[in-house]
Amino acid sequence: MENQKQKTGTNKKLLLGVAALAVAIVVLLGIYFATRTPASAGQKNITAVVNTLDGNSISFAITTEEEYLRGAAESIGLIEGSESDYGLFVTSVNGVTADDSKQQWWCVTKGGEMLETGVDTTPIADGDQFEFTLTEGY
Amino acid sequence: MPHPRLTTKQIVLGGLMGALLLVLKEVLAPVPGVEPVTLLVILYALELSALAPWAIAVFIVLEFVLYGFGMWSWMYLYIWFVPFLAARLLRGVQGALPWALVSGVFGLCFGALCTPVYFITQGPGGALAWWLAGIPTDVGHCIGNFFVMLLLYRPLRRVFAAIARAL
Repeated sequence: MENQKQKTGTNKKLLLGVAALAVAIVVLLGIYFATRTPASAGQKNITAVVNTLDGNSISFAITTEEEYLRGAAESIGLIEGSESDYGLFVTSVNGVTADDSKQQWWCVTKGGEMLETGVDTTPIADGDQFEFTLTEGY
Repeated sequence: MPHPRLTTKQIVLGGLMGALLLVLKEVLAPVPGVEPVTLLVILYALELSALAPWAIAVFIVLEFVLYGFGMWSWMYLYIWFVPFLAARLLRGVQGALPWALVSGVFGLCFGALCTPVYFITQGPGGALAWWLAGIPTDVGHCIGNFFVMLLLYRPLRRVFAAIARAL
């Protein structure tokens, strides 16, 4: 009888645990969708500037109907990278590949401001300018 | 008390356990949200606790060899020791469902546990943005971890218990 009661209590706790996990998932997804920057539809003209370590700077004008930076940059073959859990990890821009052994990486900014989103989730709007800057040191 | 030294057999086994983590992770990499590392690290911690830290260390080094050292590497230096420590703290817990919950919670918190690196390198805004962008991945990771543990906890725990007895 005592054992049965204990077992029922444990089962209740486990069910509560599963319910709490499900609630946490719903809350987190709610936060995700509530804070997501909306993308705009339609044609846009944006500029992508590529800065390399030798001081060269090349500007690309992109006309696109893509909603996010990745699609726009890939539409002219500007960026390449590896897929990660958080979207495309940009390793190569305009044919220049960041050298991991030298702690090189591509820093992406918008109008000089550091982006807080990856290329997959950065929305673009008409007139935007993005900079891809090869950076050394983590 | 003298520190117990690992035997050659244990060192080799620890290395193989680390290699198993890497191989299974790579095999399952195309399946979104599904990774075997949390499951195995928890089972290692429960049944082969002396070898588990070595196995995790071998796995981390192999990842660095395979992918090079990048921003993610800083997180890898500590992230897989989290389920190990959780399993050691909760080692008295029995049953597949509680461990599925532990595994699921770890999956859901994975992005948040990675944020210290972004907090240091990109500030609080960068860390928050990183965590927010990864929420769908964390949810997938949580669900994947929950069901992988629920399905495989009992059979694999028996296997690792048998290995531990044979040592």
